[in-house]
Parts: sequence; C-alpha cells; structure tokens
Amino acid sequence: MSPEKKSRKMSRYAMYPGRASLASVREFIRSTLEPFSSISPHICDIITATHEACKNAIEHNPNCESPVDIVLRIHDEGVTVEVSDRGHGFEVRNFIPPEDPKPLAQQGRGLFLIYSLMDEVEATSSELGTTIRMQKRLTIDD
Amino acid sequence: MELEVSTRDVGEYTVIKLKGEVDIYTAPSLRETIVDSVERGRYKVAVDLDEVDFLDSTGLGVLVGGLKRVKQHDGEMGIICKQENILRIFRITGLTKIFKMFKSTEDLRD
Repeated sequence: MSPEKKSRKMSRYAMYPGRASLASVREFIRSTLEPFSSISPHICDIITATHEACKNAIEHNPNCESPVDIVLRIHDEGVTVEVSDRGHGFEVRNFIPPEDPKPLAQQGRGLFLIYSLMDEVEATSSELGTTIRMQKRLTIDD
Repeated sequence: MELEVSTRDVGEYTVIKLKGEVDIYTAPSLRETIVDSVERGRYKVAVDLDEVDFLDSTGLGVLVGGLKRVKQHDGEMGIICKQENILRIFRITGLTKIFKMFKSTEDLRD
C-alpha cells in the first residue's frame, strides 16, 4: 500500500488527547467524506476503524503530550487514513490480524474491527512513534 | 457528544436506554448503570441502542462485562437495536451469538 497515490483530496487533523478528542476525530472523518456520494455508504466503517486506531494511540501512550496526527486521503483507489502518534512505539509483529475474538472477552475487539472494516492495514513503529495506515478500496466516481 | 442513559422496567426486564455515542469516555456511565441494575436485583437487562450514533470496542466490552455479571445470577442480557450500522459491529465481532437480540422494546414481552 503506497502512501504516494495521487490524491483527489487530502485533509489533516491533529488530535490532542482529551474527553472530546475522539468525538472530534469522528466528526472530522464524517465531514470530510460526506460530500462524496460513492464513499457515503462506507463512512461508518472508516470512522470506526479510525476511532479504534486513535483510541489505541491514546491508550498505549497515556502520558504523551504530543498530538495524534490523522491524515485522510481520497484517491483513485479509495480512502486511506494514517494515524500517527509520537509515543514510544511497539513491536509491529504484534500488530497482526487477530483471530476471532473470544465471545466473552471484554477487550481485544479494537484491532479486530480495524482489520475487519478496512481492506488493507499496515503498521510501522520506532522509538519515535507509530503510524497505522489503513485503506478502504473504493471506486470514487464523484 | 455525551451519552444520555435512562432506565425503566418493562416486565421482567430493566431496559437501559442510551442516546448519543458510546466510547472510551462515555462507556463508564453504561457500566455503572448495569451494575446498579444488578445490585437492585434486576438480572434481566436489555440495552436499547436504537438512538446510539456510535459504539466502539470499549462499549462492546462493557456490554460483555454486563452479560457476564447478569449470568452470575442466572440472568439475561438483551440488545434492542434496528440500526444496521450498529448491528453490523455486533455481527462482525460475533456478539449476535451471545446476546439476545431484539428489534424493539415490545419484543421483550413476547
């Protein structure tokens, strides 16, 4: 999945962790994608996947004061979202498609939802931070 | 957006009606309401999600925690929802198999 696809539109959002932060991210995704009728039926999937990636960034870096950056690109092959934090990073080999969550587990569904709702998911991580890149493959005809 | 939580008893069930968005910040009020219901001896609980605009994995975890709590008392937990966007999240995560799923509050009386 190349981040260099020719963009029809690119929007950025800096999320500062706080009570309204995730709601603001969801509204950012919705308001950016809603004008595209061919994306409209898939907006809820993209919002949920982005929300879960941002939630992971907050939960795994609770003391990080830097914002989480969200970059949303609409391009000829669909919609790509990148969620980047400046936390301490993690082993990307652990960021793998999970098996079906155990029915009575109270955690572990966030990553499962990201992989289920998006068509491609990649993670890169270092001591400088982590980027989760997710793509929904769509034909954009408007 | 905040989450409005209200409860009322419908037959054997306590219905917890949610309005707004359920996420990591608002889910604790749902958890507290489920715990309160169980503590007052109401072990059949149904959570009405028809006016929920968004539900994340934390909210799902709280619902599963509630299910485990009522099961300790041989109770039941149902989900009331007609919204396709929310039902899709339950289907994807396999949770339609462990919750009793209802289309409306009226179905609780059947």
